[in-house]
Amino acid sequence: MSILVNKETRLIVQGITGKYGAFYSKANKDYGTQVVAGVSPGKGGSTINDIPVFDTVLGAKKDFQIDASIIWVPGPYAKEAAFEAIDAGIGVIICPVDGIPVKDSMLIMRKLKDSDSIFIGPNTPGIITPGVFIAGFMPGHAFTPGNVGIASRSGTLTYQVGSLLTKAGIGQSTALGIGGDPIIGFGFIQALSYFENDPDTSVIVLICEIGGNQEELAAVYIKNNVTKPVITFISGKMAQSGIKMGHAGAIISGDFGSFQSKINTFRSANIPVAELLTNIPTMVTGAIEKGWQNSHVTR
Amino acid sequence: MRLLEYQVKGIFNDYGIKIPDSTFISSLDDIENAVEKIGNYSVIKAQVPMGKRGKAGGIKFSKTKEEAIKQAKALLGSRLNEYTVHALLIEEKLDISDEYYLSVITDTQRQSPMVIVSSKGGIDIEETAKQSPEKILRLSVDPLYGLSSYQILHLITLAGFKSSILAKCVKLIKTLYKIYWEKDCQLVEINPLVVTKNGELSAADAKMIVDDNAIFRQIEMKSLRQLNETQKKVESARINYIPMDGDIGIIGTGAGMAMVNLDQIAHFGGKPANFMDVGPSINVHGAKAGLDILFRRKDLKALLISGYTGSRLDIFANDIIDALNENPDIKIPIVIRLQGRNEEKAHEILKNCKYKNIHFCDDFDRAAELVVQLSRNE
Repeated sequence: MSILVNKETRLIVQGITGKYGAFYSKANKDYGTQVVAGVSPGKGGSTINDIPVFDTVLGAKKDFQIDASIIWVPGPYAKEAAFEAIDAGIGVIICPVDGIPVKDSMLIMRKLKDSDSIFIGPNTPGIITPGVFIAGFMPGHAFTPGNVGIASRSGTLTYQVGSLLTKAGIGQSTALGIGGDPIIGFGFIQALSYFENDPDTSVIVLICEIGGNQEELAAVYIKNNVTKPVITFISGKMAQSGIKMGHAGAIISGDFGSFQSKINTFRSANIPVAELLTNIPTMVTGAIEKGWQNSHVTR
Repeated sequence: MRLLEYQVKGIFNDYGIKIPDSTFISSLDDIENAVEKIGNYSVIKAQVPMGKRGKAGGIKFSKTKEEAIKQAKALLGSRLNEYTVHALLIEEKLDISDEYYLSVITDTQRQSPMVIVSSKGGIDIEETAKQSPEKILRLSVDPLYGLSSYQILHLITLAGFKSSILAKCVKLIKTLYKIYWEKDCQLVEINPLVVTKNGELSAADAKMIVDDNAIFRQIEMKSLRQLNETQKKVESARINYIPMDGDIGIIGTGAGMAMVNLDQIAHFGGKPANFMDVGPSINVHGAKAGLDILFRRKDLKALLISGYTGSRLDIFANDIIDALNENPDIKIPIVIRLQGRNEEKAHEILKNCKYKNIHFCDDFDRAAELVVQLSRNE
């Protein structure tokens, strides 16, 4: 099976007549995703790629059951599109938009607190349940059905890891990018919780990078809550960590966010860290062979 | 986008925040007039976008006009770390009684603005944060409701602000938050906030970082920005480029991939010449812009183009051909490992490329190893 999306999931595309919306709604539909409708204000009543277009999300909801939405509008308009999806009660909102102002993201996250919607992104490559569903950039041929769950801070590395696993004969349950922006919705902790509860996920791969504190929080969560083996990778050893935001940045982040902080956190929680991305398939195989025993669980 | 001190102070002035009397100069000819205006005791400050500017020698104090002129002349045009000093701010020297710290920052962990205050402001604030963190107080603000006076009053009372300045500080912090919100800031900071012997508040130094994603609606920021040609190209192409010291150029299909490319090159003993992520705009010829930038550098011994993408590799491949055709002087070995959407089409396009020093490699690690080897032969 999978987490969040499967072959039953009915997807709506917000911004379907734009360059990205038009291209990726077709690519996702061709892969097998049930793309039931699109939204483009002023273009209601038309069709694109044989998908009916509505003026609003609520308009589409009158005619279709909708489980998930993907937002393909430019950054300046993304906040309103996200608000529209949240207000329409869409269960899973996927937001690949790159370039949303941080203030807008704060307001989106604030609005989500008062809703039941799950928000993936912004700046996510999307989500794939191999064989049945893609929403977003994910190139389908990198993936194959199986039991490895992948959550990643990078789109391109998700495809790379998916492809390395696929070549090694190891399939994936669901792979998703949590988004490259500093403020995101569905994070590593939520992904870990879903994968832990998914009967068809047996190993979890986290693709991490420098900056922020997702990894530090994930390590604590894994130690206390995850029984399945988790394998991690951290990119950015050589990169200069993000722009330091004056004194205030140093005051609130301390030493968090550096490559060393992250690798130390994982190691002290006995969570294996792959040195090279190409080591991941062997480490996954090793974890599967060991069965469900997980050395990092202390409870 | 990080603003320069004088630009921030200009915004402060518009919002009614008291700043020291000052004159901005960018030419040697204006130094004498500026010094004349400020008087005997002055502070001369290099306008460069760097932290710890004072410790790097970018701030000078003088007691006489002659001394001020001498110092200003020496500072203007000099280099501080990687920056050339193109402008100075000549300010009155304040009669300092106390120094406080104030800032509003985007707290990405709590996903909300955060106000930070301390009654121990000044150049050693980061040291204070480490040694006596209890002297620095923080307040998370609900972005929906904003910041209220009672919250500020509570915060600064706890922080030990003197009672004589409480009312003024409430107003000041409210204004600071307003600037943060209205100008799409990631950070706005006053350090130190000086309380003079007369009991006046003055923002002696000021920092501001504006969210790059919000520049489209902060029109006046565009005119404050000074971008060089490369930065302009990077921005209009919507790619990310950070030059580094090494000699192996890198293009990745996303920020994660570009970082891994750097890590791999280092792993195999090479030195990366840059970080470059063309991922966000491969479909709209971001790769072409990226290649043009790297091909202009004369210090590259080899180039690695490595990635896996959901964007269109056929467009990427045509960009490589076009960039090579337009830069006939390029001789360096180029290692290409491109996988993802439309990769067969891309390989078809690249097979017909006339450039001879091109090396295709499907293996992830081997591509990095190969580019390091090839760079050594150059």
